[in-house]
Order: sequence, then structure tokens, then C-alpha cells
Amino acid sequence: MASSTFWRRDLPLLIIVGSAIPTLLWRYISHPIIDAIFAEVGNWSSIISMLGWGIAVIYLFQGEYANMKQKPDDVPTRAGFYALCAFSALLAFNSVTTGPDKMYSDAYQWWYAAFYRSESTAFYGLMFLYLCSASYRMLRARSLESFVLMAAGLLYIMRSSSMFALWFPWCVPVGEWIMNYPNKAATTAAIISATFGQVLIAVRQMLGRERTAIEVG
Amino acid sequence: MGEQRSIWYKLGNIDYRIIYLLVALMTAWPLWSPVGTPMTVGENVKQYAEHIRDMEPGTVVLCGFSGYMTMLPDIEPIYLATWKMLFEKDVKIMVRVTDVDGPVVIRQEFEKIKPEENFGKVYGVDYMIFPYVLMPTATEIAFTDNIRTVYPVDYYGTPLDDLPIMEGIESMHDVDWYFTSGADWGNQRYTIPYGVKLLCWGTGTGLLPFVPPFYDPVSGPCYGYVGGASQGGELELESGFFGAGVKYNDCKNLAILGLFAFVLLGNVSYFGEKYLGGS
Amino acid sequence: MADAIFAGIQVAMVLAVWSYLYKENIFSKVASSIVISISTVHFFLVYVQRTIDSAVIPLLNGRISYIIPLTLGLLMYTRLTKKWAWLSSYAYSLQIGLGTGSTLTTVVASSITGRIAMLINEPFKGATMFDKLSGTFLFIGAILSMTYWLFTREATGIYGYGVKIGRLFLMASIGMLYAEDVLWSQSLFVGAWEMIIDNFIKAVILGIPVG
Repeated sequence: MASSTFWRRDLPLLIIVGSAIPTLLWRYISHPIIDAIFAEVGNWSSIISMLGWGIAVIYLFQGEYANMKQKPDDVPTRAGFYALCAFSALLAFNSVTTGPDKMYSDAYQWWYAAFYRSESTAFYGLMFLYLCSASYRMLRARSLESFVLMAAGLLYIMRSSSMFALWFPWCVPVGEWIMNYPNKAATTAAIISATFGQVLIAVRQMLGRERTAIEVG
Repeated sequence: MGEQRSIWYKLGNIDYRIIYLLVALMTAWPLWSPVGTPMTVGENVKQYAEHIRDMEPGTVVLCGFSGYMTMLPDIEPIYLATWKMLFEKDVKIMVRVTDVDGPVVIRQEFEKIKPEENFGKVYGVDYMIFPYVLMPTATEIAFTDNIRTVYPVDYYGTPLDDLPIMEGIESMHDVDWYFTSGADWGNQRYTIPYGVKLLCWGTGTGLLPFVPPFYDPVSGPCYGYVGGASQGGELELESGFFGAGVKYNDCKNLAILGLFAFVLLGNVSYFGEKYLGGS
Repeated sequence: MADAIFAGIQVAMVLAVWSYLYKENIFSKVASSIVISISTVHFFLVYVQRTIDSAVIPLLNGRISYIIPLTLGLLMYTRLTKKWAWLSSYAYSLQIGLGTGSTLTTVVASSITGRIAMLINEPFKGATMFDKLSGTFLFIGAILSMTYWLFTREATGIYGYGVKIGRLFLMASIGMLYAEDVLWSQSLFVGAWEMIIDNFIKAVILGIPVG
């Protein structure tokens, strides 16, 4: 039991502390050995992250397959799953046949731009319509706070629209003033407050008090 | 028995499909038939351009290029105008690809700029591109301390030591300016430990609201910023390198006009219902 | 011809996505599956390639230390089993430790002390009286905005007014954020229209050169 606790709880904590220390030392002490350790560990970090991405792919297929099983009669869901499999296979085939170091070949780029650029741009572009509809319903001066939100938002949109900047030249300096003063005040406050929280969590992690991030299973 | 609704209520509850249709048409129309609305250049865009113009010959510039394909319509005008301005000068340009899409997009971007043909620049001498590497915090810090530990070769697989541009460039200590998409992050990684000056470029939504706390055109850490296609168009105007930013200007103007009309209608409805009554 | 097929595919994909505005249908579902497949499988392929280049080949060439990150990376896949999932925590711990060390160093200087120093300077650095007043306004606004995140005291009395005024600054900032979202999504919407009108209707169907 004690041994199990060591492997499951104490060793991960030791790894956290052990890997945080070179980072702290690297910042404050310039020494070739520390630099070398840090460079090595830096590369490790990248390799681990890249390898871990496969989990996302597995979860994706698992999730989509489960979704299809839940709705066996839903044609769009079924078609979506088959399209996912077919296109993934096509991408893999394309990257393998054009050579592992030719993933950025013209053929691959062609596929990528034809499908991905158009679809992802169209998806996010839809947000504009949703936001227009939301603006119509939400941007109303119901209270002082909602008025300030509306006024700041609209003035900044005016500053960014050349037609308004021409009709109402004052909106350019006013929009920039809102950006550089009230907005700056609030974002500075948010950054300082959030960083205090970040530091607190970092300290708790090093002390073994913040275990949520590494608690698995 | 249908309930009688007041005019104010109806004004405030227009079917969303009508809004979609009208706004979509107002966006699309100028692409079909350009209107040619005039443009003005904001102060931050002028300062950003001024810093590029003031760069001395031999200045070392590192560009963090996310190249996220989805966001290209919002950010491409900034990339292209900035690079063209940089290529006009005698500065050393290194491009770091920071997103998985980047390696695909970067080639397309440089094919549009044609540095060799249009600016007489030579790859490896005047500019170079790093390959994509996933950069968690530790890798990022390792890169700043010793570029070659993370990137032994360039985008095309050439060892960095074989590129004349990389002579004397070992770490971020040797870089003068960094174009980054996040002032906060750039400040932590580059300005605090190495004193590198930041110029920020990015999407409007990802950059603009968060950059002011770090922005000071005289003392930095962020000396200038340009975010989003609207300001990208302003940069095109300021630099004289016209592109999609200026082209999008008409569409953006007309659609915004539609948006404002609907917001106005919403408020008229709200106040009408509140003060003039309605069932 | 290749350009016409390219533009045709782009238009078909854009229209498939936009058909979702009517309701979810087979075209929009297939389009979303393709986007998901590219954005995950492409990433995966890139990472596999990069792992081979930057870890496996150096390991085979004698860089033994790379066996550690490769093992840790593979341990992450133990998440897929219930019994051995805890082994993946070793990989997370290393990443968290490195992030923690970084947080405790530059982040403090960058985002706390650096920003506080900036705030203190703001009222004095402007060239004109208006700039100085604006700087003072900023300083006060930032202090009041920070009170919004103090949850240890009830917002009553003078302090309560401070929180309310601070909230107005936050609202102005959220309004700007909203405005930026509108402008950003608008750029993408125009970009999608450009594929339909410029690249397809004008260039392919009508043969009009598009600049």
C-alpha cells in the first residue's frame, strides 16, 4: 500500500519539483551545466507533447463511433463518421505516399487548402451572423453597465470602420482612447489578478497541494 | 386566439433569418461591385510602421508566424504588408512557424511575396525559415537560450551553420525585434530575460484587447501593434503594399452599417416599449 | 482546370457548411467531419513525423537520453486503460513542473511587478494635461477593477461603490472584446464570400481576372 502511494502520489510530485528547479535555476544562475540540462529537458518536453497527440485522435474516433452507435438511424451522423474515416485515411495515404518529409508537398497543400481553409473559414465566418443577431438582441441600454458595454463596443467598431471614421472623424481618437485607457485599466487588472492566481497554483503544485492536474485514473 | 403585439415588440423581435440574410447580402455585395469607401490610418498602425521604417541595416528580426489557416482572412494582410516592408529594408529576417498549419501556409505566403524576384533577397542570406516544432514552455525557453538546440536545421533541412544569415546568431540575445502574436507571452519569454523589443501582430480578437497593458511606443515592451484585417488594411495603406485588407474594406463597412441599423432598431424597440407602452 | 476544380471544391465546402443555417443535414455533418479530421489527423501526422525526426532518429544515432521522453510520451497512452492510467501522470508531472518553474520566474516580473510599475507611471508620463488625466483615470480604473476579484470581503459601503465603478471599466473592456469578435468573424465571413464570388463566380464561371 505504502509502495503504491509512493509510485502514484509521491513520485509525480517529486518529478514536478525536480523539473521546476532547473527552470528556476536557469533563470537566476548562468552555468553551462544548468543550461545544458535545460536545453535537454526543453527538447524532452516537446517530444512528450507531440507523442501525446495520438490520444486526441483515439478519443476522437472513439467518441464519433459511440455517437454513431447511439443514433443508428441518423443518416447525417453515420455519413459524418464515414467521412471522418475516409478523409483521415486519405490524409494519411497522401502524407505516406508523398514521403514523410514531403508532407508540405504541393499535392498535400492542395488538399489542405481546398478543404480545410474553405470549411474552417466558413465555419468561423458563420459566427459573424450569429454575432449580428446577438448584437441586435443583446446590445440594448437596459442598465448603466450594459450601456457602457454597448457604447465601448460600438465606438470601437466605428473606429475600425473607415466609413464611420470618415463620417465621424472623432470616433477614431475616441475608439483608441477607450482601447488605451478604460480597456487597458481593466485588462491590466485582470492580468495582475490572474497572475497572482497562477503563482498561487504554481506554489501549491510544488508543495503537493494542487493535485488535480496530475490526478489520473 | 392570437395575442396582439405592439409595434415596439415587433421591432425588437425580428426573425433572425432576416438579419442573417440582410447582413450576408450587405457583406457580399461590395465583392461583386466594389464601392471604394475611403480609409484612414489609426495612430497605433502608424507607430508600428514607423518602427519598421526606422530599423537600421543589419537589424535582426525574428517573426513568430502562427499561420493558422482558418484565421488567414483576418491576419494575412498584416503578414504580407509587414514582410514586404521588412524586405524593402536591409534587415535579417528569421521566421519561426508556431502552429501546425504554419509549415503549409508559410510557403504559400512567400510565394505571394516572391522575395527573390520582387526584392532581390536571397534565402539563407537575407531571410530564413525555421521548421515547425511544438513548443511547450520548456522548449520555448531552451530555444531562446540556444536556438540551435531546438532547431539544428532550417525548414528545408539545411543545417543552420550552413546559412550565412545565422552567422553570429546564437540566442535571443542576438535578436533585436520580435514580431509576436501575444504581448504578455512575448514579454515573459523575450523582453524580461533578453531585452528583445516586441512588435505585435495578430488577429483582432486574439491580440487587440490584451495588448494595451504592454504597449508603449517609446519604452515598450510592446512598441507597436496591428491586429485584424481592418488594421491590416490600414497597414497596407500606410505602407503602399495594397492587398486583401484594402479589398475587404468595402465589405466590412457595409456589413457594419447593417449591424448598426439592427442595434439601433433593438434599442428603439426597447425604449419604445418601456416609455411608450406596449402589450 | 486544376484552379477551377480547386475553386469548385472550396465553394462546395463553404455552401455545405452554411447549409447548417437551415438545419443540420448530411452536407454540414460531412463538412464538419472533414474539418475535424484534418485538424486532428493532420496534427497527428505532423507530430509523428517530427517525433521521428527529432527523437527516434537521434536515439538510433546514439542519443540515449531521448529514451526518457519517448517512454514518458508513450506512458500517456496508459490513460486508455483503467488499471494503468496513473502511469500517465509522470508525463504530466514533468510538463507541469517545467511550467511551474517558468511561472515562478518570468511571469511575476512580466505580469505583476512590470504591470504595477507601468500603472504607477501612467499618471506622469503623458505629454499633455489630457494624457496625464487619462493616465490617472487608468490608474484608478485598474485599482477599482481589481477589487472585482476580491472575494474575501462583502461589497458594501464605499468599497461597494468601488466595485461597481470597477465593473464599469470591465464592461468597457468586454465591449471591446465583443467588438473585436465581431470584426474578426466578419473578416472570415468576407473571406468565405471571396471564395464564392471572386474565386469561383468571377474567376471560373465568368472568366473575369480578379486582383
